[in-house]
Amino acid sequence: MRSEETIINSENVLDGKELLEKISKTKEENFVKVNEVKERINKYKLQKLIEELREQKLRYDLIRYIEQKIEKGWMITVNSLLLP
Amino acid sequence: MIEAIRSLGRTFSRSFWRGVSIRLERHIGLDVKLETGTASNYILLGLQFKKPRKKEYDFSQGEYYYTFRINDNSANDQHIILWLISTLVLRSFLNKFVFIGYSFPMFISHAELGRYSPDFLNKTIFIDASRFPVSTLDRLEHEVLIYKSS
Repeated sequence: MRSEETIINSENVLDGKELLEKISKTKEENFVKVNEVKERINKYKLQKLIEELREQKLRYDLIRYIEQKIEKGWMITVNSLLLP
Repeated sequence: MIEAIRSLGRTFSRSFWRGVSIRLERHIGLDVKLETGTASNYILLGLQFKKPRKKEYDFSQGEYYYTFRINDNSANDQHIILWLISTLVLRSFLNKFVFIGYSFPMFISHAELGRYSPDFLNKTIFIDASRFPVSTLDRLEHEVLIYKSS
């Protein structure tokens, strides 16, 4: 196992009560409808994200691994599983 | 948790957890999703539960911490998948609420479960997968250390 320490900013670490509080304070129009996920998440956005990761020098073999998943239809699977 | 969410108001009164089979879990990295079940069916949470591997005392910090492992599925790609989905969702729905990430319950034994019951939410930590830095994306297991005071 590689030994490299990363500290997650405490504002991104929530306990269950803080998470519930966040949900309760969110206005209804700011929740995400399940079917909107399918409309907005697609393989083109994923490819754009991968390009950014490539620019951030993510290892080539990992980029290739993700691309191979996409070629095998991973994004379609993700969309169908996120939907009811 | 579901009871607490249902009690938040009418929008959430019919909320339910939707489980993901082990076969399908490897595609999206999630154990469960929480949907509201109303006419406008919202997705609130997508969670991957992790179990603590050990509890130890950090003498320099003067407190206990729990060690969890991520990216520990057989293909060592669960964290990559979760990170990608969470980042995509976050970018696609700016200023909206949806949480795709990890649940780290700080209970390592039945004795601890009994001690904290029914107040489990206070002792469970949630971290959005996209909040982990890009440097955590690889085909290796990673340890996540969570201190009791988190």
